[in-house]
Amino acid sequence: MDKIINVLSTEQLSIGYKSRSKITEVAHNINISLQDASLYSVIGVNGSGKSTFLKTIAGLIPTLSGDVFCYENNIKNMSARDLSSLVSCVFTGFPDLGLMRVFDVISLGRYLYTGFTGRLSVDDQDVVNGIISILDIEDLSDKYFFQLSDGQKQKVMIGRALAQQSKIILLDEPTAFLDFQNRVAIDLLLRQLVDNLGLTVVVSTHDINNALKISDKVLLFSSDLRVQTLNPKKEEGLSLIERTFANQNIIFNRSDTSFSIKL
Amino acid sequence: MKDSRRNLVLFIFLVSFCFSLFILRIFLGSVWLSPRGIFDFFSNNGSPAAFIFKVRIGRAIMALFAGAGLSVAGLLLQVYFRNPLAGPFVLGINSGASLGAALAIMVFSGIGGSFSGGIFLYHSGVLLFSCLGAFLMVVIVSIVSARVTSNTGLLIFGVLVGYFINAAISIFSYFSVPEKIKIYFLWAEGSFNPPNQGWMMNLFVAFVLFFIFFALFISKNLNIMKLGDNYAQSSGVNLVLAKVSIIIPAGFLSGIVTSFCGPIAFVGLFVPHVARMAFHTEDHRVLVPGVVVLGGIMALLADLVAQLPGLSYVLPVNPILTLVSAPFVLFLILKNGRTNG
Repeated sequence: MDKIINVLSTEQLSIGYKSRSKITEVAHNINISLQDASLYSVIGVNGSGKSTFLKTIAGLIPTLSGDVFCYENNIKNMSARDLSSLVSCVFTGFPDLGLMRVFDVISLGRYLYTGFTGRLSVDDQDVVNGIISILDIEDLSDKYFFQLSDGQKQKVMIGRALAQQSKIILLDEPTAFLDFQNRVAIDLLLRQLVDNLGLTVVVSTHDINNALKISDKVLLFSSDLRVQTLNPKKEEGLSLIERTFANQNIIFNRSDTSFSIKL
Repeated sequence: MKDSRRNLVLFIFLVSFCFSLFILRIFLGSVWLSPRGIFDFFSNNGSPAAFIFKVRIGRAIMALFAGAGLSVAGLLLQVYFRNPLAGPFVLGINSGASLGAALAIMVFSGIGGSFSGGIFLYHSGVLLFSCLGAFLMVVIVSIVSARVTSNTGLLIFGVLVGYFINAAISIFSYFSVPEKIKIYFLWAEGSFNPPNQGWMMNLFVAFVLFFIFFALFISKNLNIMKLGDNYAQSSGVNLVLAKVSIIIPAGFLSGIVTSFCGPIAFVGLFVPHVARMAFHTEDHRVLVPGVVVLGGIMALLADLVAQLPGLSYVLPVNPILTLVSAPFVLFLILKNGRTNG
């Protein structure tokens, strides 16, 4: 059997926001370890700290206490450059990229690898073209980013993250504002990245039904500041998820692991 | 690849156009200068034509580099604030420079109308203070922008700062003497007149050129900053270093140009948009040289129109620049209002 590799782990991690006068803790005592080639869905109600968690493990905001380790290195001691070769991100919403074309947007992910002029080498171009064919967006390559539909834009932003060629990719609600078809397309794409490219994908979402279907593990952020790693294929994991999200309006169907409206 | 060929041809055309305007600016004006003047100038014979040539070439150089410098500053500020309406004029950075100049001219230059320390110290005082004022304003706007995230919010801040500083200057002038007030308002009108000392103009050109090259040097960072702070950092950018290396040249360029030429309206906001439209790109390796040439063209054109060739009037350049640019800013606000809510 293959040795299990921990690509990212946390120890006694406490996350939140610090302002001059007060500290707002959104989750604490987080002890998780994420394995190679797995898909993790981060679920929890609004304000339970999903985005804060992703930004913290991406090294964008400091921890309140505790540590994050990426391939055994404490991210506190890593430069943005070092960390970006291991972790790439897709944030919620789209930046205003003006007249940038799809190929150029994905090329921005090569920042790490290009020299100070930013000119793409032949290798860099091959990487970008390879990603464009994985995403199946060859026909969009020359289009301006602003001309794309939201579903296409999200693919391009994922492509930009892939261009960093990092083993871990973090996505903050990538399907939040997409229509039903595009949600499924993005979810399947994420599964494909794990199965075919061996990446570790951590994705926050409110689409719990899909999350339970595509994920290897679920990170459940509760309103009592706790974070638990659950297996969506196991009975005890499912009952905890049911207790968290089901209420008088929502019923959970065990047989196909999905929530639906109670009428 | 088709883009880059087209852009190269366009760039060469614009450089030649800029050069022609530069030459035209030397010969056209309230007085027609015959090519004889150039020979007189280089043979150092001190004829009136040689003198006119010397003044005109100085003015053309000042216009060229002021336009280029302000446009690069505007481009950098638009990246830094991620705001298409950013520019030295609208953000109140020019007002900061005006306050510095007013302080130097009306408050610190000795009591009773005589300038202590002679004309040279006085001139450098104005330059230093207006440059400092501009820089202070850059710092203040940076702090404010952390709290004011809407595009128009920052614009309103710039307008309010303008009013505030104008009010302060009115109060200074109430206690000042007419000669000083006149000197201040001549500066505040904005012009591309060269400074009295030739070496000062050389210093100006050297500074502007240095920071233009600096902007070109950081164009890879400018490109990735388009994505926003989070994306930039997670792509491997040292965010603090990148931001400082954008705001320092932006502050210096707007400060230096404004201290030498007075507040010049809208060039810094307007030209980067023209460059993006002309070159169809967001790539700053193209945009930085693009705004340099287009900024030079815009300033030279405005200065040419200001001379009203053939007439004996000379208009100030700011109203001309404002007449062209202000409707465009309004257009940008309306466009933003539709898309960004």
